[in-house]
Amino acid sequence: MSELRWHPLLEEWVTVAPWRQDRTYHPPADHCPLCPTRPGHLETEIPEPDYHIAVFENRFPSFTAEQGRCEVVCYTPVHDSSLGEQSVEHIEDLIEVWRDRTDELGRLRNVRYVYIFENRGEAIGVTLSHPHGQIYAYPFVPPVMQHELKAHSRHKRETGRCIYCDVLAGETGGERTVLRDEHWIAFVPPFARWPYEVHIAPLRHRNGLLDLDAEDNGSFARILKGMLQKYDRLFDMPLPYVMAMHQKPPGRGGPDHHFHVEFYPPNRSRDKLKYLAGSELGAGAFIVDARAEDTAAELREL
Amino acid sequence: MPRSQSANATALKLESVRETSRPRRAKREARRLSKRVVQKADGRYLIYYDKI
Repeated sequence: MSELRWHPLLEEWVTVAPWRQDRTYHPPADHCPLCPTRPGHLETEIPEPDYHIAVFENRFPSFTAEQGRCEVVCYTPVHDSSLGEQSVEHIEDLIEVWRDRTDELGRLRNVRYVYIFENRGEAIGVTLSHPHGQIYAYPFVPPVMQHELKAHSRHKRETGRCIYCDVLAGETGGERTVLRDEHWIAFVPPFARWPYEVHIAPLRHRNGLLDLDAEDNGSFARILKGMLQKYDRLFDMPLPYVMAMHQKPPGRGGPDHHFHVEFYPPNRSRDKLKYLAGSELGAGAFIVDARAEDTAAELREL
Repeated sequence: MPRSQSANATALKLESVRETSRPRRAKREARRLSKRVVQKADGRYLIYYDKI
């Protein structure tokens, strides 16, 4: 199991998992562990010759046993593909999988947070190019979520309203909107920390994936696909990104939240990356060299 | 989480009783996928989600 060490200055947990140093690193496409197993070839992580969507325990987990879980979600058996290339119907299926994992992992005794995410592209540090995401079921609420939950709780106490609902209310002018329909919105938040950061969120208050209804799912899938297609048109290349789903912690009576998905692409242009350096890493203060209103307009027009 | 724990403060410390009942769910469409769980040779689980 991993060792959890407490950082007394930042008041957060650091997870030490030395065996992850040996994880699979950029295997050739014909040795991809996330492809279905082809007859006559070595068995991959998925022994069957085909699948729709598959989930398995990470071979190099950060959390396992009573600490939590780390899962890999294989979106598709097709190696040269991406989340944005899946049909809306397939993405709706994936939403059902994400919801099922949120439910099941959230029931584990020591799990305090179920975090669904995707790292895409070598610039992000991806070691397997097959389209996939991950799920971490943490034995603690991660610091970013803790900050958000605390802000939400304080705002609710002071105003009676959800802080993210108020953020969305500030987007009615459309200046930072990238995509929108009756139920969901994709927008560059005014406080974006990355040039092409985007949030996707339900317009109605939803705590998490388990609160979404059928209308939400269809709209979520369409907006998600539309946004990812815009990202790949932005610089006419598969845009690297981190996709991070923020939802309420599991369990009844826990803190409230407003479900949303955050995207952080590292590119500030086609061939220039924004690096986290002195101010961001050393001081925790982001400097962003683009206005949300400008990048939203750029993405909107694609 | 106890804030004073340092090294080796593992999940054993996390076993406080937590409410296990679930939040009320929104009305949903019928399930779209079937779920099949298999165990891998090394003990890890693998879940196939197939179209119904």
